Amino acid sequence: MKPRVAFFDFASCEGCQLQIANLEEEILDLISIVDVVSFREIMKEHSDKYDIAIIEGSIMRPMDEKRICKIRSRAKILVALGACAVMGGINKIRNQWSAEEVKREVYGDADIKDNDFFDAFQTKAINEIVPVDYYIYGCPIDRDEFKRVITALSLGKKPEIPTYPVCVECKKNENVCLFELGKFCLGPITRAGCNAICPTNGSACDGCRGILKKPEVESIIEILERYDLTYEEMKSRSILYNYRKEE
Amino acid sequence: MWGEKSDKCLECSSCTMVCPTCFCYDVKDEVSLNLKDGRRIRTWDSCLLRDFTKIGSGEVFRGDVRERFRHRFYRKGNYLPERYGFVACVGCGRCGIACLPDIADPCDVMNDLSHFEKSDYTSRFFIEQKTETKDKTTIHVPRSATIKHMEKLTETEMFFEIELDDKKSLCHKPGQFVEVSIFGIGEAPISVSSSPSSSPSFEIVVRKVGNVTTKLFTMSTGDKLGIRGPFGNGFDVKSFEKKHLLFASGGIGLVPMRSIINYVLEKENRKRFKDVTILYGARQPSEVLFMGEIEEWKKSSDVKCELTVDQCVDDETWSGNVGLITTLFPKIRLDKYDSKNTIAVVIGPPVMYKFAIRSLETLGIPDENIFVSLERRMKCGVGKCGHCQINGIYVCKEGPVFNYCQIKNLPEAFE
Repeated sequence: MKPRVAFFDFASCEGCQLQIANLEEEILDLISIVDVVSFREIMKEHSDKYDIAIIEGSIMRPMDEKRICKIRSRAKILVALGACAVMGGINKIRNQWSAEEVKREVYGDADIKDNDFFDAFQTKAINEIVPVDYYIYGCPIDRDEFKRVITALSLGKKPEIPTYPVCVECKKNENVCLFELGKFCLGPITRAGCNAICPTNGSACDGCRGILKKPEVESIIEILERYDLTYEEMKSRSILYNYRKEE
Repeated sequence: MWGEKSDKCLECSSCTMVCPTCFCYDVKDEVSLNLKDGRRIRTWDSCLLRDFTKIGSGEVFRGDVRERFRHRFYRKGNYLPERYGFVACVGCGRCGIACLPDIADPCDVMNDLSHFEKSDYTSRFFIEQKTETKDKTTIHVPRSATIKHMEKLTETEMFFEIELDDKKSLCHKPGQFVEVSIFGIGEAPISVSSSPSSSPSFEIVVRKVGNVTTKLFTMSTGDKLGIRGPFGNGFDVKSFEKKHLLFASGGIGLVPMRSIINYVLEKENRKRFKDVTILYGARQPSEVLFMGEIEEWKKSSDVKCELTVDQCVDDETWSGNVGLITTLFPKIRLDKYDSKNTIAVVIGPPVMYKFAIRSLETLGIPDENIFVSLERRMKCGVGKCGHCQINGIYVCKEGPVFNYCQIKNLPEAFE
């Protein structure tokens, strides 16, 4: 029997699900190996009986927390899809301020007291609430990687997610290092798997697939100085996807 | 010096990716979304990456970035020159340019190294590959084979009898291994467990740890596999003749050991060897492999067989010895014959070697009489992909069976 797959979204742009919708004719291959029972973006049917739940988005409200717990209890396998689900991503930028400050900034004096939809707490990644079995990184996700994960799960093997940095794929693409061009790039410390799509197209890596290893501050400063770049810029760039409280 | 530089290393492997003489590679199975077709592809790999030496069970043999950093320079400046007679650096300087922390320039490293005193221990060695693969044209292409019989030995270990579809014998030596491949999943190195004379089929035992082994558990009799090999140096059985033999294995180490034990115990071979002693330790009674055969060995008058388990939980029925395998060594009385004339073979988990070998030394068995079989990430099986290297030695080609004397001073071998 084909595994039953359901897609769910929380706080996100739904762009990662759009990447799956954009598989176009390959969608037919996808549904030949799995039964898609829920996918709000492309179908109206829905079922609560599923084996694999694929979650996009971060958890930002108490009501989201209840919903993700319910999904977890129904799914045998839970996959976090995209940067927001995997690590909080862009949504975590707001964790620089308290929930109260955030609400005041957005809603001003409007009366939102007893409305669950407008409630808010500090942004959390999925694995900060429920256990996650597999991660599909990126903002947005890489379609080929999604296919690799789905085929691996169908064949019963562990999906191979790179544990090496973007530089590996960037060098395979025979790119000139962006540092040599005077640009700042998070590639050397960011997880690969995107086939270095940003550096290959001349744009610096913003670290959307997560920081692998945080090097010593002194050695980063030493590198940056050599290329006339500042540590402050690196810090502000890494906040985009990788904001952490202690910084 | 290595630490000073490698502390700054970002582990991005840019230095090896741009290197014109780096040739280590990985092999991956790509499956298309319909699960019907796919391809097996070769991709670049790098010894600077942490997962380079990672095996199915999750063990990493070169986990420290300092060791990986050192390995790269030794390979360029020592291992390959010793093997082929020229320095494996063309002097292009690309690694130095590509390296952001500016630590990869070979000139800097070699010059820094020259300030250190030369230690005695620079002598690497060559271990000749004695067991040659007969058909060189097919070393990279798996041969089709069929599962004849499978049997669950324990919760995590499964026994397989496999026959090549061309009905040819595998022609392996005890101690050699094969690459078992399942298309779409991948390849894994597995020791041959049967004696060469059991042809045309051969036997393997797998522990359920990685992708391939987990998949093997779900297969059934009649299913097809791909087999490459046999690979590596097996035991030099000829040199064991007219000697006493001591086999000490721990855990799954009994699997490769069984190929030599059964070979030696066969009627037509037995008289070529003197006393045979078998020591075997498992973690717990439920993990003891080949209990039936062990009983046979125990009953046999010309074999001495001792068995132990590390621990025994109350609810298990076990009347035998409890304790580590080292507790078995005092039970053998080697004083009644010449320990200098004894060959000892040790196969077990990495942690076992140090203690087992120490016990053998107390028994007076000289180092050159001790043989071990080591486990590494053997991917290609023919000494090309670089994953299984212990310093300059290819375990897949020059091992997995080693004379202890040859590698006892080799860093990384028993760490």
